[in-house]
Amino acid sequence: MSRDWPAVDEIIRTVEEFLGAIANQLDGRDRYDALCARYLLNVARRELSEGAEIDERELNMLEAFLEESGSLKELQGKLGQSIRAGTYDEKWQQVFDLVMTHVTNNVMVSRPDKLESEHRGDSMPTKEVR
Amino acid sequence: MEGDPDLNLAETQRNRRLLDAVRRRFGERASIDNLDSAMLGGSNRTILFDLCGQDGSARRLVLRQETYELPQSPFLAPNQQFRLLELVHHIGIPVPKPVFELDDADGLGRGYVVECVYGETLPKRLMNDLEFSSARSRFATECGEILARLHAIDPTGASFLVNVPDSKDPVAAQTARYDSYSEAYPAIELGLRWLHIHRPQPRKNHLLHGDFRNGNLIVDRRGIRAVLDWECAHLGDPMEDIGWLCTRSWRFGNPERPVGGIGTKGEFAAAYHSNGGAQIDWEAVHWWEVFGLVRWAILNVMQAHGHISGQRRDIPFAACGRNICVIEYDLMMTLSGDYD
Repeated sequence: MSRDWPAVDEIIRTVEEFLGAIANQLDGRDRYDALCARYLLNVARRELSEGAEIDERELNMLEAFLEESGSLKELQGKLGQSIRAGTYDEKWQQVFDLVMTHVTNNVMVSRPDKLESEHRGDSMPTKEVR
Repeated sequence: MEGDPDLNLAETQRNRRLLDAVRRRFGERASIDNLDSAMLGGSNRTILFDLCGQDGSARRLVLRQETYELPQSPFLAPNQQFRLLELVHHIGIPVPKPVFELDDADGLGRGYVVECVYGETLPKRLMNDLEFSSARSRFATECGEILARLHAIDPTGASFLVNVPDSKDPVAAQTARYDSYSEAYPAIELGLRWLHIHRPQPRKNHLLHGDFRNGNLIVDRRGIRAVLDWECAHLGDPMEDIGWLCTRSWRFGNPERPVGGIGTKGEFAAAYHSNGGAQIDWEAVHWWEVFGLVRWAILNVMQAHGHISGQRRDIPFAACGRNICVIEYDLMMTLSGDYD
């Protein structure tokens, strides 16, 4: 870890600004690529800042729900297999809330502007669904 | 990309082969000019060019080259797309007129050439630009007219679509594609499970476009000029095309206008019925809208997979990977009833 400036967050922000500025001078495919590249850096900056904490929270949540341990990817795979097998058909609301938490966490990193106000904090939906 | 010698060489070689392909069909004195490439599509590379005759005439054409050739491809082979274009063009559905199909001697891979249709496809421009205000007022009506005419076509004319996985079982087809990427997306699983549990009664098969939506329609100030992108065509329930057209992702931030972010379901239904379309089962359409969100999420998994695997590296495809959760969010909100 270097102490030199700019810090990694600032480096990413600087390149994002550059891509945003250059996109305005481009058109067609080049402009679209530049905007996509800026978007990806935007995601990377948020993930560097919040990703580890989100992953840890999700791992704890999944371990509690599935009552087993493993890596985040393994447990997400097991959750998916169980949903497909119908294991949670009678616990639809619980599994729905769990998956909604996972999805809103990802959207918080990728496109927080797309979240409805009730999902921009820590609160999770409680509406009954079936 | 001017500085990349490999790309320049490939482009020069492709242009030379395209010229040869044109001369094999239109004579040795034919030439090509004004080549331009459109954005990389989901399954095709699109090259626009002028076919110039010796009398000085020029005809703007479009080469569509297949770029997605992996197993579990959700797209029809180009020769099937070409046959379909010939069929629907003959019947009078507005499509780019098919010109010729590539063959092995062309050395350009699989693809075909159609006539260029001028107009706009970018949804945000269609939704907001003043010049399309008149076209917007007729958009949902024209969608209803076109889909009613398409769904009225005798599907035996497109019997080569019978073996397309989506013609047999659309949910199973999506599941198989999703499984082929070996990635875990619990929200997609939840969507697939919901679709499985709430599946509507099967209906008689009709010819479906399979990707009829804002973004795949060429529009000018008068209205819809052409329906593009027939690579997802198959046989199935007409409600599927209607559900896909109304899927939230194609409303582009204008959710209160379900028909492509521009028109209403009432406008669409009136035109669909008055042009011979069957009674619309809105409950089934809702199921197909959920299906549409699941399908669109899986298509984004496919694009991200193509980028990560190195088979189709592309910045927008990388961005697709981070768009999946946004579609999943729409899916979850739709399942909960918070979104219509």
